[in-house]
Amino acid sequence: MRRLVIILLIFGLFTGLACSVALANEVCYKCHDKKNFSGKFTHGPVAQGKCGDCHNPHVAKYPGLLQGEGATLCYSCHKRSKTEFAKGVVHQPVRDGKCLGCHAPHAAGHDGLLRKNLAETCFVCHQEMAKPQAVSHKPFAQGQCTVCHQPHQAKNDQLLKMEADALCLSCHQQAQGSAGHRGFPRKLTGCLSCHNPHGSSRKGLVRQHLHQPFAEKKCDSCHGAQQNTGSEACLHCHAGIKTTMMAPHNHMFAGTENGCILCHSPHAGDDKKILKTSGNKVCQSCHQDTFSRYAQSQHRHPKIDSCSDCHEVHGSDRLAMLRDDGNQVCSRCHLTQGKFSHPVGDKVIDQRTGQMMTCVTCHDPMGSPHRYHLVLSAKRELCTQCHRSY
Amino acid sequence: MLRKNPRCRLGWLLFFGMFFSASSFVWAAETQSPWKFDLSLQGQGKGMALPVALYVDHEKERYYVVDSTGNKLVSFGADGKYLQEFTAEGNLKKPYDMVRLADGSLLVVERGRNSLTRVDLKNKKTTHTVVKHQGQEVFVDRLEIAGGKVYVLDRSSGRILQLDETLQPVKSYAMPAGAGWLADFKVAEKKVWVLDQKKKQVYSYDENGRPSPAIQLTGIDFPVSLAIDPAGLLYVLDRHRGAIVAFGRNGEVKYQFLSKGQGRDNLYFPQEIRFDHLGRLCVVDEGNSRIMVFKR
Repeated sequence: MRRLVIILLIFGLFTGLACSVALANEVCYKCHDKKNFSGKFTHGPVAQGKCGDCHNPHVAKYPGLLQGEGATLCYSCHKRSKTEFAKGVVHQPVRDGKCLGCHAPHAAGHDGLLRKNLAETCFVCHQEMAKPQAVSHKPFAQGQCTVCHQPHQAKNDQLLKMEADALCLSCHQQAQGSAGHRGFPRKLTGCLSCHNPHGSSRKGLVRQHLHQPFAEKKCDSCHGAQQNTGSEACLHCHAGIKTTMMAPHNHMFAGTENGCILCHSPHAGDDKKILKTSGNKVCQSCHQDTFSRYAQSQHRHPKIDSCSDCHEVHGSDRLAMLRDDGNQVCSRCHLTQGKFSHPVGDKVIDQRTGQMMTCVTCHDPMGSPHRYHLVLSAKRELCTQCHRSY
Repeated sequence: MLRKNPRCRLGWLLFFGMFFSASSFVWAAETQSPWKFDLSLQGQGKGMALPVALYVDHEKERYYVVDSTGNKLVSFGADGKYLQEFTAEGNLKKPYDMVRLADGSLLVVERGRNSLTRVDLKNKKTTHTVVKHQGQEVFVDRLEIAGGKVYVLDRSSGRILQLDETLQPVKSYAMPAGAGWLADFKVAEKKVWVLDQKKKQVYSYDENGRPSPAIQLTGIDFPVSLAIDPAGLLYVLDRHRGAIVAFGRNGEVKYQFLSKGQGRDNLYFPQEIRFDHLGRLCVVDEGNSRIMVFKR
């Protein structure tokens, strides 16, 4: 009896599979060219002709007659991924549920259904990485990004597979005693504070711009026994920066280590400010919530090159560490604003706060669900905050 | 009987109705905030520019608001009525926090001078002190007074320093290895409570500096201030979300209230929370230039 049940089950399985393939062949591929759904690597449901797993043939809420939206549809089968991809540091497209940013849904010429080869897939977003360098790290030159990075999520910043120093030393065991590190007083740490892991114009992948005492090999000027510790180690030379930090809002970090090196490398960097990583990524390492809100908001200010275009990086007397008041900081680009629109400026007082009306009284450049990234709907709610009789 | 007797059916319906009402009441009590808006401190004339800190004088039952951009201290009575402004004759330079000492003088953090400034109101005398600890200049930040002892957060070293009468450090509370950076601290229940903004944790130390296990906070974006409720909860102010989140002592979220904006139930870039002498929860709502006071 048991044998009969098993035979019937297997028979049913094969019949079902054959039927679904036949269904796709008979119905879907009558209009949709089958060639577009086959490749070196084919998505399981497509190979089995189960178009209906993702698409509804008659009517659907989502474009492409899809049964679900974005990652929600993918996670309906890839259930474990949903849990895994929510842990630790999450790659932005994964966080935004944009699986199709990297993967093709039907078939592809590359493993993992990647739309292009691994490096080309990464360079679609990380365009600055594609620039050729005089000296390149071997895995990077070979397009093997996943030697160091995890594509979906990781426990470590920059989606690194391991903590940065451990990752470097897992291949470069000989670095501890190498000529370049002669005189290094302790076990090698902070590899990335001197080396660019992708490429550089300098030998040994040493970053382009060097901190002056480091370039002059005057290690004692910062590391000497008599020197200051904490942020004072930097600020006793950079007195001007200390002055800008003496503001109500500042980036003097009350941490157990030198707060300056949260953003800056003490030895070498890729730009003149010797930042630890490029531009806005330094800010993102702490202000992830703001970056997420910006990325996920329906309406937001068009992309700005640098956070420091509007915000002071060390200290400011103003809210949100703005460079200037909420009008001046906007009108540098929006030259005509405030001249023909709603009155703003020091003669126009917001009755709710007693402060002057500025652009940011009504707009939130970091993102909002309302048009023109207004803080509330312009149909009524925003205006009646002040104009109550309307 | 239930089918036949309409009175009995009605009785059962009433019983179920009361049971569900009681259950929903208990559920609501556990998940909804008990805090209701009570009053707002807003100053007079041009009001306050950007208030950054609040000191509650429990003895005199007064509020002192530190207005950093306005370079002034503004006092209010227990009923929230404006009393007066103090500028030290225009000599305050970006005040950031303050307490009142036992002798009646004010101790003000002047960010613009990086000094602890003692203001002797009776003799109209102002003394600036740049504090040093272990030979290094202390970057003075948040200030607390409890049991006659003055505590200050040093943003340069990430330590809480206890100061003597001459404003010299006599004791320091260092954070655990691997800590992030500190946003605020309070002294309550004979403990120093410290908020780690980066790690979203709360540390506490007894008078001998012995730490208790860190409390991990969840469901917050950008914590900037904390307050310790004698009733057992921890309140954490989330600046970016304009919300206050109440946590149990094990870090479990109890409830949250308020949201980002400029209305009555909103906060816009708030700076600090603390309890007043009546057990009301006060919020320094910097972006809205006001202090919001909530009662249970």
